Amino acid sequence: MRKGMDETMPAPPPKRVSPMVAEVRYALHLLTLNKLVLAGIGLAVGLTLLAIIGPFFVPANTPNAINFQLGSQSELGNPNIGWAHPLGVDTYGRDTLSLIILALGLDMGAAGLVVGIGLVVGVLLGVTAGYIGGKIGEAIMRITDIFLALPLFIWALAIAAVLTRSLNSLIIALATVSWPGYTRIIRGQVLVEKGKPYVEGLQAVGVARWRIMLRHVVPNSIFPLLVQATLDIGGVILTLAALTFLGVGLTPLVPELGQMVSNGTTYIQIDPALITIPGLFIVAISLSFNLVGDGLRDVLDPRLRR
Amino acid sequence: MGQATEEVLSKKDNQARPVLDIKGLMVDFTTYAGVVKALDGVILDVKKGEALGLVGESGCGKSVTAATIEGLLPDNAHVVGGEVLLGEDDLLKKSKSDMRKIRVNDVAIVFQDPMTFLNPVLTIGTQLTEVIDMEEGIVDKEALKVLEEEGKPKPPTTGGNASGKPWKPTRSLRKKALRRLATQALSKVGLPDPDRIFDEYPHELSGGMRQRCMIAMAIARNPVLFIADEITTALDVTMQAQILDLLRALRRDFESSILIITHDLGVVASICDKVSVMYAGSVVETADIREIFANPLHPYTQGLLKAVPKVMGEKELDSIPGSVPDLIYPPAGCRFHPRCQYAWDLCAKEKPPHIETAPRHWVECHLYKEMKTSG
Amino acid sequence: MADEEFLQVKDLRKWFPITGGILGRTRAHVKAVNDITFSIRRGETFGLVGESGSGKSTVGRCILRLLDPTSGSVMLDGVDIANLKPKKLKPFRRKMQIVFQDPYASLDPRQTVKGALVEAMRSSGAVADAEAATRAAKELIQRVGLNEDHLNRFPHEFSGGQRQRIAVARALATNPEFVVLDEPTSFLDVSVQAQILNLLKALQKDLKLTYLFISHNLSVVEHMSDRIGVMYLGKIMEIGNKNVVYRYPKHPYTNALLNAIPIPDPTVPRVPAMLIGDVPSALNPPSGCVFSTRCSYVKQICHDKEPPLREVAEDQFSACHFSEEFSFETVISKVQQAETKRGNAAGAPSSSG
Repeated sequence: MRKGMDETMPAPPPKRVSPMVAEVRYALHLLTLNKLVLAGIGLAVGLTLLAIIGPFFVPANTPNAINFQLGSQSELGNPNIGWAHPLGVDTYGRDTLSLIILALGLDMGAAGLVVGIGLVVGVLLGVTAGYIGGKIGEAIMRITDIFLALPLFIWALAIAAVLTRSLNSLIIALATVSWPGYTRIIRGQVLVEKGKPYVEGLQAVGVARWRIMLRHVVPNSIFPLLVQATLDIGGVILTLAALTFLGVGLTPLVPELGQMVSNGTTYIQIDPALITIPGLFIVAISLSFNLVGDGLRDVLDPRLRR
Repeated sequence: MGQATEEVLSKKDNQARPVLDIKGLMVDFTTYAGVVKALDGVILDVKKGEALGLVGESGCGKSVTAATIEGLLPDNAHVVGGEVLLGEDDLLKKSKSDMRKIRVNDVAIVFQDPMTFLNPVLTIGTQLTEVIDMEEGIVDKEALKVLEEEGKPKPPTTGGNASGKPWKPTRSLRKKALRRLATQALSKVGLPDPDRIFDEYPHELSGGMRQRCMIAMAIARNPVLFIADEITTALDVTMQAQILDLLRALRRDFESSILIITHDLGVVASICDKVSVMYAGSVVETADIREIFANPLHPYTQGLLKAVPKVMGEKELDSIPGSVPDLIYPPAGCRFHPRCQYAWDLCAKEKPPHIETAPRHWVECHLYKEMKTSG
Repeated sequence: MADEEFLQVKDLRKWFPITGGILGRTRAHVKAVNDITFSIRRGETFGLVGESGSGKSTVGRCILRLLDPTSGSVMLDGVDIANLKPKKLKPFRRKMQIVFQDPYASLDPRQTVKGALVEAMRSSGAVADAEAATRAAKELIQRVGLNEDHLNRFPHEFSGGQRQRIAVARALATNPEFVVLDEPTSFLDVSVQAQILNLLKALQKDLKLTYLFISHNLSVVEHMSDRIGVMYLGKIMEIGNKNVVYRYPKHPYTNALLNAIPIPDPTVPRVPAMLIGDVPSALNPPSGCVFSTRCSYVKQICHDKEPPLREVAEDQFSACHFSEEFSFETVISKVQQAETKRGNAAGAPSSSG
């Protein structure tokens, strides 16, 4: 018959892993199958590391938003700056590379906060709406619809006008429009899980409703939400940059990617690098997170599994 | 071949080459968890006009066998040995485009779930006529018949028309002809009011009716082999009875060979001539229908028959201890030996050969010796 | 009420409203369960059979209050649990449990076996503390034929048959008296099914359980049940002792149903299908007798007047106007007689499979 089938091939001892670990491992395996996604993951990881570790290498005299020193504008457009400023200088004489590093941290941190707040609020409301349903559920969903209908820019402008012009107000503005999406997603997932027999089994046995909700339904429905959140980070950064570019919310000296682009528009003929470099980084972040999110979505697609 | 066997064979019209002859088919699947050795030397055959029941539990490989015959294996499957002969051709050696033609013309398959097979956005009529239209000339012939019945003048069938080209029916004539052929096919499968069903969408029909539509599409081309893959499993018992009646009638009228895949021994008993029992990737026993129920030889077949509730008021069901093996790390030798009460050391070392132990009764088990042939 | 009647279902109704329109008004109802009356005796297995759309699964869920009945009563040991407020229901929840059809979806995939069992025990109050729960879990898992180290594993590590065993263990964790078995073996292979059915029978004897066995598989129901109820389109067509009903039914639907069973014996003569066409929709069941649209013995009165479920022979109930005139004998009866004759002729007990 088959070659080499004469001895019994022993099965490896069964590995005792929790289903989450097994799923994560399999997910990682699937992710590695797509080269583009791998590149995206690599880029995202690289950028995140840069944002976290980079600031320790930024020279002490580089101004951040709080204390700055106006440098000489004569350095602008000077091609012979050399290694002191590998990416050039901005309109205030600050080193571009240092600014980029600080801005990465700022942007990604802000985006993380936005998505984080959105997730927490969205999950709380969505799970309640899905599991309890009825009139409360309907009410929650209608409120969600209202927030979904908010036009983003106008809303952000309004918030910035009412609150102080700062990063925090931007974060609040963006968080308020991001949670509705998550509410809808997780409500859908909860409804699906609710219909599964194991929930009925738990009810039959007499487990309390809140316990079924928190300890059983939520852990089983959270995965698609995480995928969406990852995709959203890229989108939020884009939106943040757009808003700051338009001048909403931030003062010109804050190291933020959109702000840097905005500052650079005046000097576009002298030194186009002022725009292109921050612009490139904006693209890089959102692209990489989008690819990661895409990869995760593919991983979740049941047709591609096993 | 012994004289006794020859006599028996000559009585039926079966000594000709079988319609389907699978010899030692071996198929592997590459998966994340390892290589699944799904088929380990499948041997079976279907003769002309015969209904073979392929019986086995989940994981035995019966659906993989059907997929291999149809050329529908997924990308991670590899055929590592054996032949699948349809008449004289080895289907394994055919190209993808050849297999597509074969799927349409020669080997039809009907699945368990008609909803995945039928396109939900097209009417039954559209889908059925698409299949019918694949056969060359059939529409033209029917169109001629229509013209005749309507008393219109028949176009010249040879020599072509004024521009020298052969005659082709007009579009409306084609539509009429196709519709007639389709409604004929629908009534052949016992659907009442075929004219109305022609214009309906799959979701407007019940499960049983959809199943009949699928059968109509399958037999529309008069295939030489018809594979029914668990087609009654999802149906209620009364609907199942109707479908089985239909299959019996079709066999009578069309003499096509049928391969019925099922796990239900009752279905097998009610419609098949011959049964092949599969376990973990090979056919462990093949015999005529009465023989296999009256005299099962392989321990697995015996266990299976004892485990089935037979509505006879039996008190306890005998179950087979253990469970189906993991095909990534299958048992060595005979794959059934860990669960077999008669197993001894040879069973763990060598896979038993596929031998004929009695006339037209084949078993893969070390307990039995080859039938002695006279002369 | 007879002393031995453990569960009494009376005029049970479960109608699912179909809402439509902007205001969500109720346009129609799916009459899944439509005035069902039957009773189960203590310690017996009552088999509820029916085809798709008959409402049998819904009955099971209504009894367990996983669904709230639209109307009717369910008397468990003298208390009407169908109409109890949820808070008062909790002590009764312990007494009745359910095993579901799909072994792959009936357990939380992220919970270990031990976790599931212990949670069941503690939520139902069957056990005092964590230590007692662990001990009880070990005992329970062995009772269903698995062993202690299976306790720390996750559902996906088990086969379908093993998962059903775990589901049975979970059902038994609350020390119930009554278990609803909703198609427990439909998704299992034949050989595994036999193991599970044998296990269920043994458990019934050891723990003195009462079963409601719901299934569309008539051979399995015949093997497991003492008494049978046949449902069609939300109504009960016939009730009776298994041996009587399977051989000499009094309702045309039962007769057609039983004769359609493909018997795993090629020597049995094939009966052509008696029922043509499909089950009508439960949204708009036929007037009068729900079976009137497909019955071969239908008369005008069948369309006009719904036949009540009444006793037409000793301990045999049928919902048909003409039951007394029928003397059906199913294929099963004829085959059983032939078997017995063969057995007698051979001078040995007939093979019991």
